[in-house]
This record gives sequence, structure tokens and C-alpha cells, in this order.
Amino acid sequence: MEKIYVTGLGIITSLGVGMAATLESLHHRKSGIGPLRWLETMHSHLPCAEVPFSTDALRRMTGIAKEQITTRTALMGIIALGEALDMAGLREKSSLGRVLISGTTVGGMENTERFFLEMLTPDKTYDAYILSHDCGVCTQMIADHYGGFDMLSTLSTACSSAANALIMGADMIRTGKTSIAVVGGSECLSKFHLNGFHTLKILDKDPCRPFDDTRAGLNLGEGAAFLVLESEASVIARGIEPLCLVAGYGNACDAYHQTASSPEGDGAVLSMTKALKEAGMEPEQIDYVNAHGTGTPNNDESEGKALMRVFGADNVPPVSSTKSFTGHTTSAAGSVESVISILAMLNDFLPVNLNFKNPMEMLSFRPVTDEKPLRPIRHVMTNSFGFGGNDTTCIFSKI
Amino acid sequence: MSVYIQAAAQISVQNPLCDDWLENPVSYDVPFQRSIEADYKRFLDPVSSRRMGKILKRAIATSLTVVEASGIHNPDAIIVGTGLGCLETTEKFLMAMLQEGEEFLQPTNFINSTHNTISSHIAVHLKCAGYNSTYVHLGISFESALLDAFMQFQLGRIRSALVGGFDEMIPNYFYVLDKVGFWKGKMAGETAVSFMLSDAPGKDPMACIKEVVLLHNPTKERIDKAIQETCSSLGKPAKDWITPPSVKHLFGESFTNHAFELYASAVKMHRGLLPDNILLINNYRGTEASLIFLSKC
Repeated sequence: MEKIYVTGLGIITSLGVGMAATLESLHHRKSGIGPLRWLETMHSHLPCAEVPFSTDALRRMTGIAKEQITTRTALMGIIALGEALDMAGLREKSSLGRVLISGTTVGGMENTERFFLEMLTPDKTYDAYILSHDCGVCTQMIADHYGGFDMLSTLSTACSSAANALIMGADMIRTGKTSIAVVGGSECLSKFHLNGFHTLKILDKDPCRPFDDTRAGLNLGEGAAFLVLESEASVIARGIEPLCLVAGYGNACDAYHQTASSPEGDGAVLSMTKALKEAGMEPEQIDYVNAHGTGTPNNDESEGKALMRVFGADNVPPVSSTKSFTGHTTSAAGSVESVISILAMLNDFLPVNLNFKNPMEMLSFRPVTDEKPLRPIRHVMTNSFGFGGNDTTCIFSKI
Repeated sequence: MSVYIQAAAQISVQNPLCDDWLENPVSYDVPFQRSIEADYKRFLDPVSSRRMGKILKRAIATSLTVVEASGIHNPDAIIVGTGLGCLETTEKFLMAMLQEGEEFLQPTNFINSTHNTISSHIAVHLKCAGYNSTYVHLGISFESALLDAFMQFQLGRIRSALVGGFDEMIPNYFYVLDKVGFWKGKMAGETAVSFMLSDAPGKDPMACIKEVVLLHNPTKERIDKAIQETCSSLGKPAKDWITPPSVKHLFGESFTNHAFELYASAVKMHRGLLPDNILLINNYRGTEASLIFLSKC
């Protein structure tokens, strides 16, 4: 099958802007989870992982005027996409045939939740914000900031959106529809989904503890990340040094429940197995798994059991959830954690799972607490699972 | 590559789950019309039915109809396109939060507000653990889902796919979009269309999809170039691909209304009412465009 290279990465999360800030936080065990600073909500006691800049500051960083309608989701996406395009040497060159596929679910809800009641009155002051409500508008704003994109699309499979954007982009290269696909996702915190997760009683009032026996829920985060995917022919033609390979990916549906995972992780087993099969790999070749690991009692048990089923109870590779650093960046999680997994592979370290103390009785493995790998990291796997059982797994390999 | 449409079903402002609109179209003279509901008792038990919003019920009913019609009970993929998702439940949760505060909100409306609720409900209903995805890209959300399905067939990953376009419109959202001149005099409607696709022709396919192309910010020249390129790869000159009259006046305007164009073309082609090769062009507000190449089987 045609090889797909990664030639650029860009990221913004609560750990800061860019790869260097992300790496430094991961190495220094510096979590981005803390008290809310920007989002206005009565649930301000819940720790979250906000990007450490106000929306005004993000506007200044991207040069977008105060009068221009935008969204925090779009602003974060613009910053992450800029880094990815720079790295791939694509910022200046506007070539036909480039594709951007992005994942988001919140879309422009941050504006809608602020202005909807006013929009319903005859007053017209805030009406134009309705045209920035759709998820697809965020993708347009991100793409059009740089230009040069010939096709866009937007995925929304809840918390696996960005991972499924990667699949769409990679498949477009594999079917010869494009030679360069930029893929990822962006999502800001909104009062709407913070409250939604709160009604589900899955938000921890303390920093999350993925794979710990005392885990009591997740912390919401926000962020954006993009990966530049490129065909072999394009890499050769442009003479660019690729970072790594997209080895395989798999998408499956748990088809069990709208918000809960099946007890034995059936959908997760399927998505991991499909990804391994597509990569032509045996489970023992995987050197690190960046788990979905939200920190909810249900996810970590279900995913943990799925990992034991896929790898064998005694052979689970090093596993960690970096949501203990970034919080759960929801629709962006798939690309945020793909970038983190690739950084781990390229820099030969295992991102640790913060806040782990007490092993879960039903699991044969413990998450990573020492960043020094016992063997070279050649292949990394990352899981992204969404509401509705939308499970997706991606595998990246060293060249 | 040929992807065969085995069955198609709609719920809209026309009579539901049938092709009555061909001979006896219902006509309206209103700015906004909600769909004529089907009899959901055939598809859902009363308890599940009560829990679901309109868009979910319509999605289940059109999906089960194409499952029955095609005999494909366990499709390898379920892919949905929706511009605005489950607008009604989203509004319920939003309005409760804005008017009553953040204290006493109900989880059900949040759970049913995410866009992928539709595809996952269909998956749970059909017990399909295969490929499952949801596209939410403005006026080409449906065509994005169709393109994804087409690629999964091309890559040999699937033999069958249930693909749908779904959107609902609610009075408040209609009102605000109306204030900004979004509807441009066209009647706002709602979309629920399901297609069962397969890589094998089967006994009686309706039509076959030859290619799907999406474009962003295209100039007229860019669209023409994409048409030329696709035509040459399909081996038929551009003049052989006819664009049939739109059915928007029958089904109304919606983010996924292009699903009706494909549906109506497939129905008409099956009955020999269209030329053998047709090209459906969607140009959404000049920013997103799609081309669907459809041929007689």
C-alpha cells in the first residue's frame, strides 16, 4: 500500500504553543490542568486545562481584528496549522490540490451560547454570529487564514473527530485524490459542553487520575493540533525530510450505548485490531500506547480490558494517558495525542501518566510513570474514543 | 469504480418513505415547512420513540427502510452527513442553560445533541460495529459522507455502506437565519435521506455512482477543470454528462438538501426518466462545491 508520511506538526494546548513547549511540559511533568481563567461558568470549581491565553490574546497572536467574527476554536486552529505548515515548508507555497480536514463538535457554540437570546429578539446586533455556529465554518476560518486549500471537510465524531479527520486525509492520499492532506482538529471549552459533561457526572473536581483505582472522572481541556500528511511522490518531489510514517488506522463502532463503552471494550478491540492489520503489524511491535484514558471509571476499565485482549494480559506495551497533562481536548484529542505520540517516538521517551498511585485490580498493567523507555520506540499507537462508540486508533512508525 | 445505489428512502415535506412526489407532489407557499412525519410505530417501540428527537426517528426510519429494501441487514459502514446535527435537542439544552441557569440541566438533551448521535443511533439499532463516521461540513456535509464511503469502497475495505443526509430546522434557528437573509426566498425544509450502497450491482440497482469531487472556494474555471479531469478519467466527454433540473422546489432548502438531488436522480434514472449519465453540481454559497457523477447501471 502507498506510504503516507508526516511532514509537519503543529499543536496548542494548555501546555502552551508549539512542539517545544509541549515537550518541555511532558519532560518536566508540568500539567496544564488548573483553575478556570477564561470560561465563565458557575462550575468554576472544576479544574480544566485551558489554553493559557485569553481570546483577545489569541486574536493578537493571529493578527485577527477585534471586529472580525471568529471563534476561539478557529484561533487555536490557526495557530496550530501555522506551525504545521511552517514545519512542512508549505506556508508560503500555495499549491492547488491541498486538502484540509478538521474535526470539531463545539464549532461556534461559544458565540451562540453568548448571543442566542439576543438573536431571538428583533435586535440585529448579534445576528451575524449565527453564520459562525456551524462546525464547518471553523474549518473555513482556519483554512482561509492561510489560503491555498482546494478542498475542505469537517468531521464530528465527538471525541474521536480529529482521529477520523486523519483517516479521511490519509484515504484521500491513498486513493490519489490529493498528495498533501493537512488533518487534525480544534476545540475550545464552551459552557455548553462543560455543563453537558457535568450532567453526565463524569467531571472530576480534582485533577484526573487515568488508570488509577481512585479515578473519578475527567477534566476538560481545549486545544488544536494538525499534522501534514504527504504521499511519497510529493515528499520526493519537494525534497523534504519527513518526520515519520502513518502506518495504519482503524475505525469501528462499539454500537453499545450513547455515552458508555461496552464493559469489555469491544469497539476498542476492533479499532486497535483493524489498525494493526492495516499496518501489517503484530501487537508486540507496538512500543507505546497513548491511551484514550479519560480518567472516568467506565473508560479506563473498558479500554484497559481491551488493551489486555489485543496485546495479551502479560504483554501490554507501555501505556499512558496524557490527558493528565492536557485534560480531555475532546474533538481535538485525536490530533493532540497523535502529535504527542510522535514527539515521544522521535525523542525516545515515554510520556508519563501523571497522578497514578493505586493500580486497578482488574488490569494486568500499570501506566507509565518513568519516561525512560526499556526498548527503542519504533511504533506508537494512539486511541481516540467518542460518544456513540466512535472508536478510532492510529499507528505511527519511525522511518 | 462503480458504487451501486441499492435503495434510497426519504422523509421530507413530501409524503414520507415513498416516491409519491414524482406524480403527486405536495406544494407549499410558506417560508418554512417541517417534514411530514412517517408512522414510526413500524420502526420503533414507543419507549425508544419518546426518547428520540425528530431527526433521530427519521434517520432510523429511512435507514431501516433501505435495509429492508436492499436486504443488506449489516452494512460494513454507516456514514452520515449533517450540517447542523440534532438542532432540536441542542436548542433544548442551550435554552435551559441560558434561561434557567447551570444547576438543573438534564443529561439526555446533551447526549442527543452531538452530531454523531445520528450515526451511532443507527449503529446501535442495526448492531453494526463497522466503520462509522459523521461529516458536518456546511452545504456539502452529505457529499463529504458520500466521498468517504466512495473511498472506503475504492480501498476495498467495505462491500456495503449505509450513507445518509440528515438535517432538521427549528423555528428559532429559521428565524435567526432569516434575519441574516440566509434563505434567499427559498422555502426552508428538512432533510432525511438514506442510501444503501454496495460494490456489487445486485439484482436491481437504482443507479451507480462513478465519482464524487469536493472543492473549496472554487472559481468557475476551477469547477470546469475538475469536471474535465473527472470526465477524462471516466472516459466520457463532458458533453455526455447532463445536469438534470433541481428538485429543490419540491424538497426545500437545507444544509444537506443535495441528498435529495441524488435521491431524486436515482429514482428517476431507475425508471428511465433521465439520460444515462448525469452530473449533479452543488455550489454552496460560493465557498464549498461538490460534483457527483451518476450513471445508469
